[in-house]
Amino acid sequence: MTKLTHHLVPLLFVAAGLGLSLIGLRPVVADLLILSVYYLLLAGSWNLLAGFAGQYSFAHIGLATAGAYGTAALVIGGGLSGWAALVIMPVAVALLGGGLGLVALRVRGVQLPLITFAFAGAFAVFLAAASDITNGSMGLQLPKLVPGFDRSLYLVLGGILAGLFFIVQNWMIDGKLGLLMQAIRDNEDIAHGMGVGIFRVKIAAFMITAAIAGLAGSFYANYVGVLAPSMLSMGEMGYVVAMAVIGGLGYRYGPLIGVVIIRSIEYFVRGFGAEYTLVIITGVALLVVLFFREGVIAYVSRLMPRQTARWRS
Amino acid sequence: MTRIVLETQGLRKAFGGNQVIDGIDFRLAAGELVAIVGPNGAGKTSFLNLIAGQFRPNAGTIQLAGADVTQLAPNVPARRGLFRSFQNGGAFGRLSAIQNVALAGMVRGLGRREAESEAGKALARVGLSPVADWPADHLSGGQRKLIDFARLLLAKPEVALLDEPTAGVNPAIMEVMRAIIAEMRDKGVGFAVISHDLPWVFGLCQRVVVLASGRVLAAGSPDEVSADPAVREAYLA
Repeated sequence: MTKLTHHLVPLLFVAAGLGLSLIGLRPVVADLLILSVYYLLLAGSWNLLAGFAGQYSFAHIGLATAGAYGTAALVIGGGLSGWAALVIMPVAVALLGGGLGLVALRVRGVQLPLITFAFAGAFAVFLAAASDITNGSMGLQLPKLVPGFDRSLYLVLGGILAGLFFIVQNWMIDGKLGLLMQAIRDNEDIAHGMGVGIFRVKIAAFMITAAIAGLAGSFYANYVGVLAPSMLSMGEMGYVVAMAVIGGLGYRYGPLIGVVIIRSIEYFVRGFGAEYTLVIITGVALLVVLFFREGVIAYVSRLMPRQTARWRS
Repeated sequence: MTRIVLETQGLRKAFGGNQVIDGIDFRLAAGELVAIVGPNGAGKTSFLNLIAGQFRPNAGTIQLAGADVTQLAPNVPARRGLFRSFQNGGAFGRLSAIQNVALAGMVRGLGRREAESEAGKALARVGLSPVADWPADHLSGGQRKLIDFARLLLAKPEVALLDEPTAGVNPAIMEVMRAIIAEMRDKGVGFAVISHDLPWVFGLCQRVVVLASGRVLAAGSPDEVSADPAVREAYLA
């Protein structure tokens, strides 16, 4: 796949969003696609952090939830529009992520997952406990972005956000930052010894991917319209990780493939109940780990090495 | 007077009760190549790790081009003109050969495109152009060592520390390495080279420092240290 294709992918998503908004999809399909954009933003940005920079953070779903609740605070508490929140929350969550990174990224190995896991856990407890602010499990209600607008608006917006994600991803991976991130992933000590400012690169990666998680959370809040603390669960984090891993961690389009696979499974087995969906997804994850070690996309790239040479970096 | 580009004084490092470096004084002039030899466990790699900032010394000082770099993180001396290669090759496995080399230019401040262009020329110089787009983990051990030399060309350092560059490589690659080292040394780069291939390194160096048990056992010309009875007993016998 050439660089030209990488540039066409964002346009493809914008065009798909526009096209799908015009053909009048069934609500269940439109819902599936719109929420898939939320998962694509999360799994894609987590892939940038873990798959390209080698930083295994479990704060991602917590950062998305911060983006969602921040949106609620701006809209309900601050009287701003959901559109303003879509712009403000990525910046706010990037700063939050930067603050978390200042602590969490000073350590290596298992400590980073542990610290970020603790952050997400503490935030979940806060959301449940501060029920006078968050309304607890009763949830917070947000108005729609444009009153009276149906799902077609969100299909267009989702296409634009997915396209935007791929533009940011291309900018990162094809630029200086992306190469420095990958060097750190492959061997932090050698990168450091070559003159790479490890901490600065990690913080930059953490803040950019946190911004994308914040955007995802704000999009979720604006679309779903009801926020409950259950949004932030380690099950959801596992879901995001599974999408990246099943698709192909460290590959540009791995999370996209993972989102398509998992969301398709969800769609086709939805009549059996949530427990069965989880069992089937776990089974698929096991099969992928056993037979496609680096994810489905890695298998495809081995079949077509020339065409897919730039998928990894 | 010859400019000193690297100097250590009273350098010491212990891990628990194990004194791996025990008071090393070392000087390297611009355009000089010093061979660092000694038996396994003598502290050669640890000495390079201390200079490069990978280990923090317990005592002593390190001056790089006149500036104190003791206790600094490894990226600082690297940005001030120190290059370091690793015993097992320093390639990043999933990055292509050209990306691996371009990084050396990027930390010098080049943009990615310019660095990749320079890296292409450096890879051509070491004979790796045909594999420039291959991931480093698909390359042989010798080819990965050549990536270090292509990086060395791009890094344009004042001081280069090379850790067993010739271990496990064939004579043709050794000749490429020798030519690059000789060229850069003649341009004023100071080299400290660890090697067990004594004929190869003695053919390049002006001075030899023999380490044993974390101390300087002997220092001098290749002929002088080769004739030293203590060196013969500890290392050459």
